[in-house]
Amino acid sequence: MIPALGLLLGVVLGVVLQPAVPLWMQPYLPIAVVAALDAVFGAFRALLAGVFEDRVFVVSFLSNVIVAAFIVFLGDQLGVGAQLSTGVVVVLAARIFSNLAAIRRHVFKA
Amino acid sequence: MPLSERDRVRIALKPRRTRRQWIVGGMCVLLGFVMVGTVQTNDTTGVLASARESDLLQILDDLTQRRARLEEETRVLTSARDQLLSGSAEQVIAQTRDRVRALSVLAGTVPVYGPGLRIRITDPQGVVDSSIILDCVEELRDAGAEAIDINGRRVVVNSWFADGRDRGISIDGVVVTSPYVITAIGDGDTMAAAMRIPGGVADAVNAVGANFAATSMQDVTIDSIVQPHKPRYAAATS
Repeated sequence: MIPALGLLLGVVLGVVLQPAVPLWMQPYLPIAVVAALDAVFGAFRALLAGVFEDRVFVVSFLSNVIVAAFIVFLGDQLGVGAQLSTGVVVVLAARIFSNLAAIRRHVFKA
Repeated sequence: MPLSERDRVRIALKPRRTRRQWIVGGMCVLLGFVMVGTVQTNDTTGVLASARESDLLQILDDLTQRRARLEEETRVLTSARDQLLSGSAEQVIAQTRDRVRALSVLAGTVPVYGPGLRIRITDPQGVVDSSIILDCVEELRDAGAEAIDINGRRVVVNSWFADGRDRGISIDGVVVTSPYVITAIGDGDTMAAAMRIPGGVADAVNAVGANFAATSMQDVTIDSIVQPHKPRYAAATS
């Protein structure tokens, strides 16, 4: 309950406050958001499977965000930032889709 | 008893104020906040702010090339406009008009006026022939005459003289008779002096028994003109 409300609260806060993303963060933030979404969907899947653990969620959330941002940062340093961030997004999107498929199986039994 | 998915969701949605719930909730707040912020940054600042260095370089390169092309175009158009505006065209027209005016005087296609000399040769016996008149014209030209008229016939660069069949002189095929009134525009005193030189025109006229009189005048008018004729063979090179 609290996490769902928290997500809603965050969206409302963002709309109201209109935060300006710092320049140095701008290449990494979209990737970090996608990584965090992957963690959230993974957590929901775990919840439906009955294996959800807060600790696992926190660790996977943070590690997803940090690793995704770091990979993009590394790619930028190596001069392949655009390609590498595309790759990261593809991988994360694939994970999100597989999580969604698992959730769908749990909810609709199909 | 194994829980169904519905039960698990219901349990999860039940508000529990545990510390872990608060941590997870806080992270979700952060996620929503950052997500909306990123979306809005993309909306407001467009592509450039989030573009990578290599992409920016590509964009900059494109813009530089495009600017070079546009600057070249601007340069061409500006110089064209300057030529049209600066009055150089008007100057050319004015210069051309001046040249046309000067050449018209020389070609004898316009009436002219100015200081000059009027010569009157009375020849009742018909002894003055075309060579004397030709000498007179040549002397006047040497003395700086810019326009010459004989009895209402304009003398120009291709004028020719011949003796008349019975009497008088043929100028360009038209016979004029005594008295011959020769009007020349130029420096009157210089031309008068040229007429008077020993063995010159005045002496020659007097020698054959005709009467020569020259008057320097401040303002004479030559109304006669010739029709300019189009050259048949010669073409201008510029």
